[in-house]
Amino acid sequence: MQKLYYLVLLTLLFICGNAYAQSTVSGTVTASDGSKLPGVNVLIKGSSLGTITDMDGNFSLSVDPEAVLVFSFVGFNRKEVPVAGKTKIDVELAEDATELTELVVLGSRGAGRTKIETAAPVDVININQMASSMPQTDLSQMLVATAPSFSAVKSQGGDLNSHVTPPTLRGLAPNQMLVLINGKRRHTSALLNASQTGTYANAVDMSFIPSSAVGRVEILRDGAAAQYGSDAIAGVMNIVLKETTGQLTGNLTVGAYPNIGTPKFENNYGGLTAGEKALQDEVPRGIDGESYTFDANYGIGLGRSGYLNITGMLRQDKPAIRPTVLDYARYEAYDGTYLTNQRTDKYGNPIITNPELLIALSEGSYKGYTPDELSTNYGLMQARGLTQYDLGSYLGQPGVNLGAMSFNMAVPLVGDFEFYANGDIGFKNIEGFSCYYRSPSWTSRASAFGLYPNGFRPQMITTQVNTAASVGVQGKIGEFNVDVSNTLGRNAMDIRMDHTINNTYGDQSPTNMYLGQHSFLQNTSNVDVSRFFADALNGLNVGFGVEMRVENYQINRGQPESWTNSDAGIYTATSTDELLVGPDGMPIEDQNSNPIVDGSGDPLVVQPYLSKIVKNYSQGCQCFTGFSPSNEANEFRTVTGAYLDLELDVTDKWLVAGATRLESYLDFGSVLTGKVATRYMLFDGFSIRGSYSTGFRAPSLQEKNYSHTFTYFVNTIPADATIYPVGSAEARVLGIGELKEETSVNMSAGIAAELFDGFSLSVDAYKITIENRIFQTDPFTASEAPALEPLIGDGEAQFRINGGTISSAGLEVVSNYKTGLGTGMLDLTLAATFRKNKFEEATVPELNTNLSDDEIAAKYVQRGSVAQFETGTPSTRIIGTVNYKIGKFNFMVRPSYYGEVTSKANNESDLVDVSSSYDIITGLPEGTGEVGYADQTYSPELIFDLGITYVISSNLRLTVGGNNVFNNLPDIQRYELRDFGIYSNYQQGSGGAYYFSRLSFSF
Amino acid sequence: MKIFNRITVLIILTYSSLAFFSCEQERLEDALEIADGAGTLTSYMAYQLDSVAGTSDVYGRAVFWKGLEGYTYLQISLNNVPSDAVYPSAVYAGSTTASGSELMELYTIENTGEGYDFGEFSTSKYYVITTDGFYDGLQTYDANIKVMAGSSDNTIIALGDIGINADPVETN
Repeated sequence: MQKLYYLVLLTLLFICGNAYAQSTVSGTVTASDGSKLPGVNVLIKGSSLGTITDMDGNFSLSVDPEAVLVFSFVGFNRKEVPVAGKTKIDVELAEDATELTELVVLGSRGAGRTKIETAAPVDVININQMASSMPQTDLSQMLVATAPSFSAVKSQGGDLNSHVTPPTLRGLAPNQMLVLINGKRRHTSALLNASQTGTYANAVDMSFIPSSAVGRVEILRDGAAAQYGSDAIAGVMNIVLKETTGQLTGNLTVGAYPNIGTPKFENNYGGLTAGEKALQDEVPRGIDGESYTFDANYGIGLGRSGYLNITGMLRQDKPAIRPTVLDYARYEAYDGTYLTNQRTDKYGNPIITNPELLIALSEGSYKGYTPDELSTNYGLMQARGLTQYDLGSYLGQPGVNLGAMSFNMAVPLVGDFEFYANGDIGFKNIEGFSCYYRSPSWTSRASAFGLYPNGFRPQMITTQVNTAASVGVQGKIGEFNVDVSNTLGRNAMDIRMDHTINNTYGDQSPTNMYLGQHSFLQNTSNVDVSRFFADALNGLNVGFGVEMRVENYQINRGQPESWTNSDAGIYTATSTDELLVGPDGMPIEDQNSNPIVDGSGDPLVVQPYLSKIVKNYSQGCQCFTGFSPSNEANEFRTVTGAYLDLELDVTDKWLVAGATRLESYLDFGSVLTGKVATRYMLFDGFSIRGSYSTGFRAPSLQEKNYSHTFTYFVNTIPADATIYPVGSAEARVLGIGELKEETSVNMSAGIAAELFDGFSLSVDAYKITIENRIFQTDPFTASEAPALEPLIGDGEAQFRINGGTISSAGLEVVSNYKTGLGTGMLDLTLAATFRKNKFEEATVPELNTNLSDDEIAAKYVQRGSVAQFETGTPSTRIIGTVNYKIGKFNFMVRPSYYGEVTSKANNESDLVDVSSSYDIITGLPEGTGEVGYADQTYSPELIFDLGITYVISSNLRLTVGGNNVFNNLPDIQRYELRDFGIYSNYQQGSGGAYYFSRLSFSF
Repeated sequence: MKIFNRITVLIILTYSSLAFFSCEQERLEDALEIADGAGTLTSYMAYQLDSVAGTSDVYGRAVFWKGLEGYTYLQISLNNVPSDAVYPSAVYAGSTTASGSELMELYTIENTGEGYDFGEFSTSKYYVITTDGFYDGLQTYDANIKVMAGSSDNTIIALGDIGINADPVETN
């Protein structure tokens, strides 16, 4: 109710305005074909006063005779007309043909070319125009909805996976796409995070870039490392910030997932079991994932052609949990030792875990439950009023609080020179669903019974501060264009865990822990020079420049309780030759309530100087161990680069371009890359183009230095492993060398055409081959690598290595048609990508193990990892957009097709007949009798986005709509894979339908 | 509108929008539901139970634990309990040398040693004595504990005095 009150208040604030009339001017607004345009915004420049045209394109407005009128309408170019004392002003607006005529600077060091003239495909996504009708407010999700080659999967959980949404291009890794802001390199997140393409990567966190600060996004779908340096393997994204002045614009967007109705719980593999279907009734249904976003943008003029454009943005997402609820017997809350009060502490003192049973034994019953009932998992849960959902693992949209401000400015200096700068600062707090529920039946993780009698659900919480600033001077010295700039970016992530413990501290453990901080800083200095030689054939542009980049990556330790081990499970004798027995005279029991005895079954004899681990409790903070001093890093790297870039118009139809770049890394050497590209205009409005380039990606400081101890699961059974940095003693002992750069070869060919008036089409085919792809291995044990035994004991060790060759080949089609329809404007876009990713071969290093080459290769090219890269994300994506503007309305419908995805299991397992009958309280479905891989192909999905905008006044617009408006959920996972999440996460996501309303204002 | 006015509007709008945001996310609550009496017990008195010469080599301890909610929990732990054993047990009045009446019938004792010959109550590890103040008055309690060979075989195989009749072998 309070929110409704403020909404009304806010609305009133918007529509309040001052009117002071001097004279009246009227007129008619028409399109270039003479048709009258209704709904055109007519504003008095420098004020919030104005009107909109009626159905016949007419307007009338009281104005000062010296005022300037600003006419704007989606799909047409904005026009300013001085009143100059006139009383009648008729205006003709030109159609906004930016799709075809806008100059694209990405991929060129010259003055820019239209999309048809470029030698490589470039998508231009006019965020500024599209934003008001889109359900999405996050920049990466807006691009996902419009650019099929772009992907940014929002993880539902799993450690820190949902804390940064990694953007990718052409199905390759997030760090194989370079992101630029106004042409300058953007820093990545400090976090080395899992990604949808099966490998860990440090990705640019685009959530810190307010979408309302963005004018357009250019996506170069071509290798461009020779032009821009490391990372530009899959392509380059350039985010072009707004430069508008004199207008205050903003949006308040409120949305939520209705999350109503009973979802379908079927798939081609039998769907949910009978027990799971019944348990889904426990899952709360109702509106969740409420999201509020407020943004505002304002620009002021500086000097004769300068500007300062400022944007602020606040966003809050509430959690939206989409859990799987497993059968009682599959995810057991209480085991036998818990139910029968068998557990003891390290001294042998009893831990009464089931007091209800003892009460019932003495009094006959407890709350009507008999001792027999209270001796069962189900009965005790019932007696405590707990459900399987209450004690289950959660996945879903995390809670997000995000605030960001950005600016973009330029100030003219002397002559042709101008000073420019842009930057942003952002704060993001995320509370994600990261971990399996720590059931009391997990005896190695249940030491703090006093804190969590029914187990606990750890949640990871991160707080990020992200800053970026780019400053520079550009202008002409003689015939040379000179641009000198410096770009600084830093991302710092503080990591916490709540609802957790360190089991080795028992009940003395803190339940909220600071796990440490990651930070990444990148400073890039550039000097870029170019000159155009008009006399060289039809024109030659020569560009050259140098770059120096300094990077720093740090891991700082967390609080000691998050990574140290205490003595909750350690017994220290108080006298010599002490028998390890409890008060009952029996051997003290381990964490599983098994007696600790010698080979003869007698109690052990212990000494004061030799402590004995009697309870083998899991170490460190659950479920994410804090970063310890051994994980700490403070690594610097310096990179220098130089490039030469040539673009020659051999004739007025034939363009040839070439580039070469040398980059030298302080930590691993130099890389030389090159590129050639050409475009030939077969006839006016139809060109063919192609390119060949070599590229590379340097291993990031995160990949080289990240180390951590973590928990992984096999069939819900937890195990702990440590990932060691490449230079560690463990890596050296195993024979793992320093990481080398990934190298790539990129080939593409295609056409771009304007086939007839208003219709554009581009078709491009490509193949990218990447050698020395960096992989993260699966854990090695000391039994597999005996040399590791002194270092890791009975632990497990993982590493990152250059492990193989991969490729991606595909065909991308983008078409657009704009035309007048009735009295409105119709804009149709169809974009599609058809891709095939392939893991070509493994590169098996000489490792000091007793494993075969095949077994070593399987450590990092497991079936599951290969499948995640090859088929784990849709190889076919088709997005259509229908936009129709008529009168005061704008209608947007966007069907989006996600092709099928296939996941594959690493190992064979007993397959399960989910349709078999069983006792859903105590039993499990039967096996099929077949042992095989639990692979799963998820059906293709089609969703629809919708946005309907109504122009309330010249200052106000209201948009309602939704994402996935028909609530189409992806296939649920098959039984064998369904131990954490319930839905496939690599298509439209598992949130279901999302509806929103947006109030947009402009003054 | 002048720049100043626009900035004022922007500030008002920004602060108005803050009404939609609460800085804290609502975090999930822990499931803490459990009856009184849960937790680690640390106060106890342990009495020796000896085997009866010539009938068995079963011996062990009877431990009285002070419960957290006022109850007293009796635990019996025995050695040399075969895997098929089902030993009735009870508390009797007076010392082991007397022929006192049965005060409390306890649970049967079975092998619970996970491969070893340790035995405990099978129904529940602890027998609950609900009498108020029982633990605090235990040292004046005139009783003994006997373990029999079977439900139809009243041969005593282990026994021991408790309370006033014996000093605890261990206490805390």
